[in-house]
Amino acid sequence: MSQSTATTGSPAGLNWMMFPFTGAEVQGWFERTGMMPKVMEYARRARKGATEFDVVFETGSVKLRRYRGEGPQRFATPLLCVFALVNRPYVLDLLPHKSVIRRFLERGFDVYLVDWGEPTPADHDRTLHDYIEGHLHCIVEHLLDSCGVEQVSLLGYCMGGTMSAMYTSLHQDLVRSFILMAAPIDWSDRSALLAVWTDSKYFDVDNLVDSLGNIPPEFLGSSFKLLRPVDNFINKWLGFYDRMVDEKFLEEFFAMETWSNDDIPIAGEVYRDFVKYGLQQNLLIQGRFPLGPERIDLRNITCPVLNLVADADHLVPCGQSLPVNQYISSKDYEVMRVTAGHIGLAVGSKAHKELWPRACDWLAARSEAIDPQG
Amino acid sequence: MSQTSGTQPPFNAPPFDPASMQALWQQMMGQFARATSPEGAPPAGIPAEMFRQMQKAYLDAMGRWADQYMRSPEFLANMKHSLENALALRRQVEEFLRKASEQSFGSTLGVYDAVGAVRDAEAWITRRIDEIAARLDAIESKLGVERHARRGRGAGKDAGVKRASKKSRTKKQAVKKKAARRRR
Repeated sequence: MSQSTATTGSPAGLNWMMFPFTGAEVQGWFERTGMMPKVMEYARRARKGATEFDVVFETGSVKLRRYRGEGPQRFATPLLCVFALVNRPYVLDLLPHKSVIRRFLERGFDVYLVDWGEPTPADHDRTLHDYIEGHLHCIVEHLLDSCGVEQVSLLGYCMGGTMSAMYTSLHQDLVRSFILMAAPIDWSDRSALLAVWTDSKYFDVDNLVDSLGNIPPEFLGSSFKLLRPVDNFINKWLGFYDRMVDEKFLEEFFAMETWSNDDIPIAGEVYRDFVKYGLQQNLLIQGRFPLGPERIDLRNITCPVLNLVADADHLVPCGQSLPVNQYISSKDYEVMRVTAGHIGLAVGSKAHKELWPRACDWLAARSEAIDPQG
Repeated sequence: MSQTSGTQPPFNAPPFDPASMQALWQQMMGQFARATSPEGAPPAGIPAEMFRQMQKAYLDAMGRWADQYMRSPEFLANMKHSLENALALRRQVEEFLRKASEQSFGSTLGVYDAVGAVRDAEAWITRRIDEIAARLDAIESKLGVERHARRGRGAGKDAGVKRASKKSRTKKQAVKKKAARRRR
């Protein structure tokens, strides 16, 4: 007995053949079972966003949030964050230590976030033009009026970055500086699986939109998860089992899970425009992307541009966002890269340690400072 | 209830405290864990780190294989057909349900549909009017800016922006006040 226990580490008195687990494994199992009530508690109390905000403006179903900073405001130029239409925007403010919004608040910026809301079936014919020239433009006009400034700074994440680039190209005079965050601009890079799946040879976007109207969240959510099936369906849960005894991990895990499962539908016409003219025909870099009566010409962008890129982004590979400087006219252009994934750029520890302090400095140097003397 | 309340002393149940239950549960499981793991027990046949590395290599390979497969023409063709079939089925089901309800409810269904459609349309039109009004405001203020910039001599364009937007604001306030007076 003593020999078999010594070599296998099984609990005393149990035969290895009958009980093929080490003592450490059994100990770990009991520890994890003991954590179950805590796990459920963290799952239940996961919050959607970490920072207090006020809704300061509404246009249709779109809301403008103004975040409350604790310190003094140091810059007059407001920062407007624009997230994609496919998920909720609170990923930019997931947890206090993983909040892009907080990093900017701490630096003294007046931070706003566009909450696009959830399109209803009646909104299926809303186009990108409605969102950009309608809602986003109204919001910017409101900000200029309420803050008493002439220009705002824009931060666009993912599809929100593409939309912000379109907006900036149409209203360059209203944008002081522009931060792109993992934003697809040039779809000639077909390395991402999403680009392969949406190839016009295999994907009939017209049929999908004509049949469904709005694209349901289940379709979008499962498509995104299927891009990395092993990571999303196996590795994530193995990692969870390994680290579920750590309460800080549980907090982060459930905050992330809550966000990633909090999908919303996307208006059918927006989806059609984006897939057809962007992913399939790559019209944005050719100056031919139709937006209502206009054609988007990125050369109109002349303001300072900061391009934040995640090296391990599987959704928007670097090749889709890095070439932006070839199509804009800005003289002041900078790239900051971090080893992270698409979402890690916003919530990753490395990004918050290395990237965001530098991004805040970049914006601070290009924003109108408030004179402390009044 | 009234029978027992008079004869038995009231039972004062302590309020349920989830935190203490959690602590008790964790303590119990912690004791089990310590009991099953004698200090310094060596690991089993394969060292844990090696097992982890093997597992990682296997899952990485599986991930690469899945990625390659999902890029293959076979998968893409299957995906296309599945999506087309699912959409065709959905259209057929919708058509069937429409016909079935037409037959069941006859002409009244049309009335319900019409009422529902009118309500939807009403909500949609109201929202669109709001949106158009907001856009009109934006256009008006922009026009005001341009007019002012054209008029302004020597003054910078940016200065014009600020003044014109203030002007349009006061105009809007005057219109609002008038409307409020009329309502009164």
